[in-house]
Amino acid sequence: MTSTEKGKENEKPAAAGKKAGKKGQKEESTLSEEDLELQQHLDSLVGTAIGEPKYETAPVPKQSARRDAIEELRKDVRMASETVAAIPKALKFLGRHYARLKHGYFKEKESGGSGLGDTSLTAEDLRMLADVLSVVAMAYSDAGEEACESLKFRLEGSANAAGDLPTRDTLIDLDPWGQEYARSLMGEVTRAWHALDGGDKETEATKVEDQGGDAKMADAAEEDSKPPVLEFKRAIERGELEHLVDSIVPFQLKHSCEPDAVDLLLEVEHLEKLDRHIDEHNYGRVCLYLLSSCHFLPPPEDRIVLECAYKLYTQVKQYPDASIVAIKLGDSQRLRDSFLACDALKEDSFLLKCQIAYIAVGANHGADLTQIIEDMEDGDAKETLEEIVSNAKLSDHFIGVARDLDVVEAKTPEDVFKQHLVESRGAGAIDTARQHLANAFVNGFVNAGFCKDKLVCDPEEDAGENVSKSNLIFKNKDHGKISATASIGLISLWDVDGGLPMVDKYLYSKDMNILAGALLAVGITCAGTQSDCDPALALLAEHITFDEGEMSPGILATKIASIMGLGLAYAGNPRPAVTELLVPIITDDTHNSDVVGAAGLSLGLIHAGTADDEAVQTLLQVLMMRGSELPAHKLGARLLCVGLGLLFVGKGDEADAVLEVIKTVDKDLAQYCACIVETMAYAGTGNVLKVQQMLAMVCKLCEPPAPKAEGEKTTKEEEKKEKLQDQIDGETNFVSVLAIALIAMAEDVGAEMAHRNLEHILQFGNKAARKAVPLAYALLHMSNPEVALLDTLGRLTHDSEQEVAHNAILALGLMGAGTNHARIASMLRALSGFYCKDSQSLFIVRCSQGLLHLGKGLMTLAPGRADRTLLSQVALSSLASFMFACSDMKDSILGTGHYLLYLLVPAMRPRFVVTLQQEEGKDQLKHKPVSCHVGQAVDTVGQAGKPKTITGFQTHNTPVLLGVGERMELATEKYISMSPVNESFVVIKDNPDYQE
Amino acid sequence: MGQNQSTGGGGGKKEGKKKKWEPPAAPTRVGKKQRKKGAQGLLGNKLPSVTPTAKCKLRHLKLERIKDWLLMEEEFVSNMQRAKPQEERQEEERNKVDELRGSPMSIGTLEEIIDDNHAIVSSSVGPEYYVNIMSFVDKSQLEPGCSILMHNKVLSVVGIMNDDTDPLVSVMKVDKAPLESYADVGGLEKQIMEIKEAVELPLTHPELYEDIGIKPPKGVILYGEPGTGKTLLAKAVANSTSATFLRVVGSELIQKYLGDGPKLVRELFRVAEEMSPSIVFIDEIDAVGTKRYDSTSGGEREIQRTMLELLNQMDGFDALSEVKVIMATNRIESLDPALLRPGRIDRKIEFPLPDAKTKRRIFQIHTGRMTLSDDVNLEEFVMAKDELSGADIKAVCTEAGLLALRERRMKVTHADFKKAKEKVLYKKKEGVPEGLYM
Repeated sequence: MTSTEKGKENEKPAAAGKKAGKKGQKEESTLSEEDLELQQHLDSLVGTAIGEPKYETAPVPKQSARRDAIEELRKDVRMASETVAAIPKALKFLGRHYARLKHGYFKEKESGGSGLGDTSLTAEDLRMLADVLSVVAMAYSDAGEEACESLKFRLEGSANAAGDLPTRDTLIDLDPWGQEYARSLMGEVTRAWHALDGGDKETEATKVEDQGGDAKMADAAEEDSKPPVLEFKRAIERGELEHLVDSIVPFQLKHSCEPDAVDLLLEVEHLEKLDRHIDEHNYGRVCLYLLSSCHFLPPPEDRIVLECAYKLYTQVKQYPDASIVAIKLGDSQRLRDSFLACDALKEDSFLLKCQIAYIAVGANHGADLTQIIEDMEDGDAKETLEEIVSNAKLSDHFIGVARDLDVVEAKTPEDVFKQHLVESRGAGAIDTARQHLANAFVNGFVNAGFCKDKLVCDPEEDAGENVSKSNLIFKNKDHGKISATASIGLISLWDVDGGLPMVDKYLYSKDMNILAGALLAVGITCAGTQSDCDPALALLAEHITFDEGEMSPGILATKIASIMGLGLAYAGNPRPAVTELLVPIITDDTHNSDVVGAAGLSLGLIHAGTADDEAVQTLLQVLMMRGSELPAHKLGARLLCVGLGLLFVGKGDEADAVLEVIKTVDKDLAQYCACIVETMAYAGTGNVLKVQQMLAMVCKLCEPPAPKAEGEKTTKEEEKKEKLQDQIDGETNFVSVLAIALIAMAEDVGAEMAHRNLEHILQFGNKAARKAVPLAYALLHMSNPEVALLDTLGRLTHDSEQEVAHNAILALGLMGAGTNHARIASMLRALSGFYCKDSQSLFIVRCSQGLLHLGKGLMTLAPGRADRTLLSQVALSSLASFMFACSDMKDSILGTGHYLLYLLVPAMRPRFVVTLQQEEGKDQLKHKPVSCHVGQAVDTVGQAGKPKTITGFQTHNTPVLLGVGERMELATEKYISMSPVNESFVVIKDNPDYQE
Repeated sequence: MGQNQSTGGGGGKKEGKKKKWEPPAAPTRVGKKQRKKGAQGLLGNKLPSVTPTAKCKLRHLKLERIKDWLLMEEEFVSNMQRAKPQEERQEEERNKVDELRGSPMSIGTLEEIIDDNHAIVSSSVGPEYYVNIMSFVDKSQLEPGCSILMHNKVLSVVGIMNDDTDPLVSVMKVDKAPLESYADVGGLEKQIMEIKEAVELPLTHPELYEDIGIKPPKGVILYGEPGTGKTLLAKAVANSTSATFLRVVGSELIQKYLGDGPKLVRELFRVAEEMSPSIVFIDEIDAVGTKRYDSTSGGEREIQRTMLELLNQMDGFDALSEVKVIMATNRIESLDPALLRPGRIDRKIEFPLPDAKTKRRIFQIHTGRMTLSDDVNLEEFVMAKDELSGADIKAVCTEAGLLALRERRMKVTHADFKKAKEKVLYKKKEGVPEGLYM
């Protein structure tokens, strides 16, 4: 401190006391000694800094003194507060001087800040004073929030402690000013930015005020009395703001406030600036934040953040992460890019490629990679990758895991039903045909993928007509045999080489139903895998050719079965040859609605989420041509619409054009079709507007019909017409309720909120709406039982409306699919006792029991992939189409269409995690057991530090099973996982830095 | 709920033929009381919790999303209600239920549930009855031991007494905020800051703690000489907060019957959790919180058990999230160390006897609304060496005022204060001859 200042300080107490006056008196009396001292000290500093000593007589302080005072102020302003709750004292006291300081600043500024004469300030000093003002303005600006004074002074301020002018190259050093200040600046930057945006649209002319005017105002103001609020007017330019943003972003990133940095850049729409500041330390948190924001941002920002995340991941060479984002974007080119980019990383390139291939296959995007893998050099690496992409080893791994967990032994339906635990309510057993069918399904579901069971594919059995009665297939009658035979396909799921011989013998059966079942089985076996020789196409194609003239129902069944088989086998894996087969069937108007429906659905499944032009045109054409003969209450017509819908899964507004066309379709179908297409287009987007639309639709369709006027007589004809209309409305209503769940299932917030709405629908809705609610619940919790929901569903299983009860039972099965959940199991057992005389309900209970033990608990139906960041479009299509088919169970599952249950097949996948390691010296992978933690996933977005990503974990050795909402982490440091999310197949490598 | 099913699922269409098999009644869940959350199904659930807790755009967007959904919900419900007015029907149904219930009703205890429709109940007078459970009673909420409403003649169960909070606990809730505010506390600035930081801030700005990655403090203990403003500060906290404020005195937790004390503590914290965010203030904690020692007296042991329950509630297995505890005592040294360990009590705030400055402030507060004559020189009292606590100063002022009143003066003089001080100090040192130990 200089001597002049010291001298001044001595004079101050009296002056301060005088100045404080009446108003200040009371306030000050509460201050402690130190506070008072501090306050006086600050008062004097302010006086010196602005060159206005309290005493008129005192000399105007010299420039050096003033500079010192300003520096002192800079220091004091930064003083930390004693507790979290309070404003720092120094800042508080300075607040009173804000107006004075501002005045002084303007005056000095007007005089030029030239540094001429020994009393006026230099430009540096002025800038430093602006710094102080900016901080004080943060808390005490008197001009209101809109004025952004803090920001304006900041723009006037200096870049660093030396008071240098900020230039393009020197960023503003925010470190001394602290987090709170940076945040407040961010707010003002955003506000100013938006104001600029608004201003641009109007005219530039309004912004011509310059500083000259302000300074005049400052002059006009009285010196002694409190000056009128003086607003610091200053045009803000975009360039300045951008420069400031450039300074704030690295500051925030450095202080691990990544969300803040991202928010700011999002606001000013310069997300691309991130890549300059991202390195291997902070990319994780930034990208995580970006990814989890994408569901909540309006388009087009949602895509922008994803693209930004992709770019950042690529920049830091995290190609598996990048590939996940690419899949989320639905951008196969980017997926291929990230695959190819692995070449740059010499040693890990093979492992990374394998991992990316596994991720792509898991999300049903394997087809995107086939071409580039084919173009690779021949060798082990190519072979391994081809194997991965074609999913050829899936079955081997699955059975390997089963052996590991000791569940290879085939289970019979009786093992699942546990009839001895059921409270017997008299002799049950009516309608044995349906029971046998149920057994076939349960047997199929439970032993799915194990290639082994006790009831249907006994190798000893001869497939001739004179079979022993022990084979379950032959216990079934008529159309029951279709599904029973098809269950062989389910049992040998994914195992093309082993499964086809098992089916083979039935392919020559003279019984058309068995033949149909066998054809379906071929399709099911090949589902989810690819093979060079395309066995499914080869075997099924010959049965699809249609002869002229009438067909017997049996032959028709084989046709439908082979069409469905094709759909299941190539779901999400479009082949031109398959499309060529299906298109003529759809367009041929001599076929009845069932065939066309099946073909439409298959086409939809195959091209799920691609919006393939040819497929769209074909389906639209049929709908327009034959719309009038295909009203929405017919299953075939509905399936056709579903097929069209599936083409647009997750495509959003790309479906708009098609929706316009659909309006021209026959009105009986148009409403339903439009609803389906819209639902599927926005499925998994979380789009609230569409949910609102769907709710409005439910509302409209649930309104009771207007009461008829007295005396108005209704003819039979009219009554019939009304009934039909009711039915059609009901179907649409069903879809719109499911739509709410389908749209909302993308993220947790929406899913939870959807529950509340579904509850309301349950209360107010009519029958059609209510029967969709259980399935909607199931959709939100696929393979993920939630106890609170089980109670609700438990109540619905006893609903007075049978169809609601049926769907609720099925929902129980779907919700627990592949979990072996004990509580659901006991609920279903109780239901089997309860409904033991009602063969239809019992059939559904049995199916649910089978689903509950899907693959003996090794499989799941959940459509989420990669920690639920992705939704598999194929799985979603398969689930949705199955549920749409459940709208009228009597027609589908409880009627002759029970084979529609196999629509679930494309959604099935194993829920294990297998760790794979490169074999020594070879480009091959082999299973390597490592210890790992499995626990509940925790949302760590935007959390400080390094939070644990799982909670309540248990330690196991891989392979392990993973439920929905669980995560796996390696328990040792010895290995490094190549994958960002440990799911299904994880490639690991030795940690080079590992020390025992 | 509206879609309450009863019997007959699946059997509806067979009604035409008589004596056909009918499905048995749906089994109900009885016997185990559901937690509050599950009880009403999913409706009325709390809204989804929003992560991250830090202020950021993501959080904002998520909250916006929830708002959108709620708006849609509102729209949907109001539309449906307009389309299908249900009030009349509901009214009718309600009347019917009222009729069936009859009135007056008697209150009894459910002893045992026999099957879906029957139970054994006992009324307060003694005998037990085997009675019907009416179908409109929500069976999922029945549990043995709960209080029920019974029909006055046939004693069938017609309702459940829902409010199972101990009435003792509901009394503890401070409904009317005390008048004392922070401004009425003289000095104690540090203490106010500390208590604000430990108690109020975690409730109002939890994200601050989350940002830095620490868990906010759970509780504070205020200790110091009598009359130094511990309770006053607690009152000020209650005055300024919008959180539920529950106040207990330690001695209230000591109950006549074995197990009642711990139960009360449990109830207290359960209610606090239910009404969270909340602040529990336990005054005179030394009544229950004294050091444990081997005791043969059953009463002593019961008190210790009460404390153990308190320990468990404060940092036990179930984490309290939005419940903060403030305790106050004169004798911190006699408290059990387990009670004071960090994690239960994170902050110990000492209330010293006021120093001169604080004394001056306290005098100002208390004399603020008194008419003082010009000769009053409060400095004299402030500077005096006597150990005056805040309460003493208040007593002096009151006493001085009374003295003036006695003489029908409208102004309080310096002499009044002097006399009053002597009187107060004499009372304080009553029995001890002055100067004996000095």
